[in-house]
Amino acid sequence: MCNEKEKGVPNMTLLAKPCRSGVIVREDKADEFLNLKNMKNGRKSLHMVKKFGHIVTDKTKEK
Amino acid sequence: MQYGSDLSLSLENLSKKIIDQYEFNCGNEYINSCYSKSMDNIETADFVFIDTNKNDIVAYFSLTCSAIMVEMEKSAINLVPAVEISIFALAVDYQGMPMTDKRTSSKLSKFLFEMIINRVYDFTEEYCGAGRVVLYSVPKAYNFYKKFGFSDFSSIMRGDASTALKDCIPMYYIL
Repeated sequence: MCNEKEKGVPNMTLLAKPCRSGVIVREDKADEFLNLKNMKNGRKSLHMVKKFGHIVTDKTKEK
Repeated sequence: MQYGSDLSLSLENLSKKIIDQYEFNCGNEYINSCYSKSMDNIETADFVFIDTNKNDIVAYFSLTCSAIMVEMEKSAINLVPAVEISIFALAVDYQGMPMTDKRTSSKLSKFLFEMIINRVYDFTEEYCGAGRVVLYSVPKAYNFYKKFGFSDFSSIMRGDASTALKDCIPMYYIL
């Protein structure tokens, strides 16, 4: 698994194996994880949506 | 060569009609079967981007509500609301496609993924709050998500949970 990480961005971009087992954050890292909300990315970080969003017609909202 | 910016895409809810009308091949049999069986799964909301000129499915993705468990004192568990991107796959013909002819152009995959994250913002701001996105990356996609801003859970997660996630890497993104 670690070796695969080093290979770079793949042509095939996908996520396999939807997983419902969940992740448990360790107690000693709880504060670190919960305080991350102060480092929000925010919608403004989505530059490509702004630049190319016009090529997509959202038909899911036509109900 | 075709560029992503030349495409005309429609984002649609995946339906039986679409499954009957369009084939989807991302090169991964497991994901392809998730596409064809998606109507059987009521726990996910499934969507497709369709190339309206070529009448092809460009990408398929799936969202579900989730929560990240955080161990607290005295064995309590704090649940942090999250949205899980359980599937994101591009059809073979669109994999690696650049957005423009510029040498440094970003890929179509990144643009579509931003569209998905944008949709998650819509959902969490208008319908049901959550502050994190989680996903389980296949090893080959790890750097794609890392560059996007996702963090790896491995350094902060309880070790024994990883056995259930054997060949995928849990990652999170702060909205």
